Amino acid sequence: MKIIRLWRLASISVCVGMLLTLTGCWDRREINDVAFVLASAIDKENDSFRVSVLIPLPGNMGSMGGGGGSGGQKPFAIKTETGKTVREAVSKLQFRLPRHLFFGHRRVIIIGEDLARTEGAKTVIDALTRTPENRLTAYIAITKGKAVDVLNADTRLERFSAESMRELLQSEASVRISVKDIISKIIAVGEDAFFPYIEKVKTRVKGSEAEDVLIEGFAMTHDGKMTGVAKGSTAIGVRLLNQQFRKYDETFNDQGNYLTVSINEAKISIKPIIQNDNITFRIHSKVKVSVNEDRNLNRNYDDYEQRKQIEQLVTKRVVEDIKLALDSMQHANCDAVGFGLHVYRAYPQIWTKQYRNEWDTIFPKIKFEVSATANLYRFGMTSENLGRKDQ
Amino acid sequence: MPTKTKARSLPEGKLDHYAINKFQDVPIRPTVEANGKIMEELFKDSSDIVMREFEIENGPKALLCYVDGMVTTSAVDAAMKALMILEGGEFTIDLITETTLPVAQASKIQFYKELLTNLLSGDSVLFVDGQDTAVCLGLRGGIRRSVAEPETETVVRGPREGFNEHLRTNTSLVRSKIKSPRLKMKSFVIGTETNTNVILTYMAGIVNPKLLQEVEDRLSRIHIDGVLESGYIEEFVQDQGFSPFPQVQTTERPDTVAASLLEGRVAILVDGTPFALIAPFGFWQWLQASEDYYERFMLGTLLRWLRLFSLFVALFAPALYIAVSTYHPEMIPTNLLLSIAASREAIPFPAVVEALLMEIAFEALREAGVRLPRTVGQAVSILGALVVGQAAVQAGIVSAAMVIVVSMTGIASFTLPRYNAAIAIRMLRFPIMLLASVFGLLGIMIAAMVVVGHLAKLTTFGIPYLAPVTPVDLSDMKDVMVRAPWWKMRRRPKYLTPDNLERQRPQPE
Repeated sequence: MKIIRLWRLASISVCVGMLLTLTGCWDRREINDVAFVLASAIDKENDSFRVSVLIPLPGNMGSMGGGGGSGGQKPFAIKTETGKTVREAVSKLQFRLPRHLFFGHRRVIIIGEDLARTEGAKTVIDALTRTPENRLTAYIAITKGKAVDVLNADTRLERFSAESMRELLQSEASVRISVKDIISKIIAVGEDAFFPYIEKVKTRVKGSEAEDVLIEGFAMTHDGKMTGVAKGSTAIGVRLLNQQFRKYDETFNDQGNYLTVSINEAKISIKPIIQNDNITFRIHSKVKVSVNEDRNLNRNYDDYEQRKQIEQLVTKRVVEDIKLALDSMQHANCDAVGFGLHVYRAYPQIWTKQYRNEWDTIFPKIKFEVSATANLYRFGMTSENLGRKDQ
Repeated sequence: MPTKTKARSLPEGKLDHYAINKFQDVPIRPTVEANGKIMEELFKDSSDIVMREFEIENGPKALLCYVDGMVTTSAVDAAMKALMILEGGEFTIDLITETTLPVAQASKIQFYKELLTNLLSGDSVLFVDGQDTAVCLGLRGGIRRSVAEPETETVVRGPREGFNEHLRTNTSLVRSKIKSPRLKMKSFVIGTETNTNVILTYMAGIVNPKLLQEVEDRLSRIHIDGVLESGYIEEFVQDQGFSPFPQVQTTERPDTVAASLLEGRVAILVDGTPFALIAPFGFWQWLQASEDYYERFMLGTLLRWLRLFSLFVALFAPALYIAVSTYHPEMIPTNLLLSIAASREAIPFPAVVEALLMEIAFEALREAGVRLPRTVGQAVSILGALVVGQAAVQAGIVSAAMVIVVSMTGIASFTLPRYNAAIAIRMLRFPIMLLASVFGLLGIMIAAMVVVGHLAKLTTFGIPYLAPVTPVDLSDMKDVMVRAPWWKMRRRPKYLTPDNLERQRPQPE
């Protein structure tokens, strides 16, 4: 009996041992054998895609081991390849890389303007979502000019341009837009996607020349194709209209005296009104304002009237910005705010019957009523300007 | 069992070739001469046995035997003096013990087994001519280690005395903590050759009688030639012999024993070792140090969480590193991953090999540190720190990240207050690492499930090992993940089913 039991035990353990050793392909992959893609750029080249990836070179990162002496080398490499599909380009890229390309850490995807305008951003969405390695939380942006150039920016402040782009795209300078936001906007009828529009600029101070990535504004798309750009005040209008508001600063010329305030909070209310088959939107923005800098030495913040004056300035500016944004959106036929969805929520039946299929033609002609209220609720550590003589 | 008539005679052949049990029913002979002959034969070639023949004044011959070095010589001298100047013709052994001998512990013995046991435990034995009863004089002495600080369980706050190798010192230490007649010390002799004294101690009226009976049964079932350490007993009395997890707690601290007894546990003290056994011993005791109860309760609670966390680190950290870095790199934050990648860049080994290498080196270092003479130990630790720590990283053989993981694991495993539990964790780490290297996180989960399943099935003296968490008892949770303040712990742990739950209310009796 004992021998039989021992035999059984021995054979089971041999079988288990063989199971462990005979598995041909498991997905074990040492960190040394993986090339982590931190960002990728997709451009159009003739009628195919040019995919470029940014790969950090751990050996050149200078922390330890490897060739620590070679200081001047970049800590990253950019590899690029073309293909009829994004995936084809990637697999062609893989042929010349000794390490396995791994997209699980790709946090930034940038698309060249040329591609965005001709083919549209929607053509690459499938490549960004089909395999589980892709992060849906990766930030996505459209670049002015070639995306590769932006990818190759030497920002000096961060080790990789990917890192500086990621920080920038999630900072207050932009509206956070990730792949999954784009998907939900592209899929929805009655809403269009807009992307951060970034550009490479040069800092030309002697001794600290660098290339910076700058957020210029937003790229408007219609049906996944880029149709316009909102810059400056227009871009601010877009941000005000968007639900995800991030604070920003605004400067006014108040009778020759400049005044900078920051808009800390903004609430937008959008109300579709259908009257006689005519659709209008009533848009009201409520902003909260604080004073950052005031060049008017004599302004008295204890005075209600003078505070009111600032509020009026802000109100006027907010309305202007929103109108500019609406104009440019209508011009680009890009329903970045999702006005269509507002109609759908308020009048679901009318929407499906009347507007859903012709929203593209209706949207550019819609009338908006824009109003705003501002509330100056904070004017800093002092209510008086400390630059003036005591009176 | 031999019949009584048969046993009364001496065993045949050489007397000194038999275990003491053979002399179970051999009676003391009535003459000193006969007894002397038996003793001579029993202790042939035993230079440490002293047999002193003398005459009681105006009376019969007497023979005093003792083991040299195990008695207090001056006390023996005094006893002999008292006998030698004895006056008066008629006497019996009773008379001697009752009136003459100035000895506190004196008992009459009729059979050889008892006589030999006592003699070899350090008592002096007196035969008197014409008497078939010997007198056993408790004049034990000799050199012993003094009570010192327990080395394996040091505390910042709390008593500093620890058990030593002398059983009676140990029992007295416990008795001095619990001055109550309820504290019982039941004596057992285990080991046919070593005849080791083993004491089962418990609180009458607190301990569950069934538990007590079970421990007694298990103790009396042990048949072995020798018990040199309480570890022998531990392996015999535990529920599940093949489990890596200890089911009996070991301690060097009398206060720990006392506290356990008051909770309704039992303790086993073994002669010749400072380590007492406490049963039952469940998983949650792993995390309890005696200091938890002496310092303020908040600290006790905090430390318990820390220890639980350390336990997981000690068990899973290297495995997690292997699994995440080779199978799931997307789980590591990008910047950390890049740092790890940079430190691993020049490493020639896969992460598993690296981890195993480092873990084995660490275990070897630890073992060397324990086993080596103390003077050399320091050299080993310096060597280890330099070779394993710095040189290996600089030479590019192991990565800095791995050194951090391994040292964190080491530190974490030292935070467990129960050394024998930490051993189990140490052992399990290796199979888990292998599983992680083959199956990634899935392997770790499989290992965790197996371990938890085993723990859930395990019992310690019939009590579930994970009690009171599974089976759950909310009122017992006061001493598991938190250490409730003393004024809140009014009851003894319910899962031990003690006879008396009340800890803080006055007793009705």
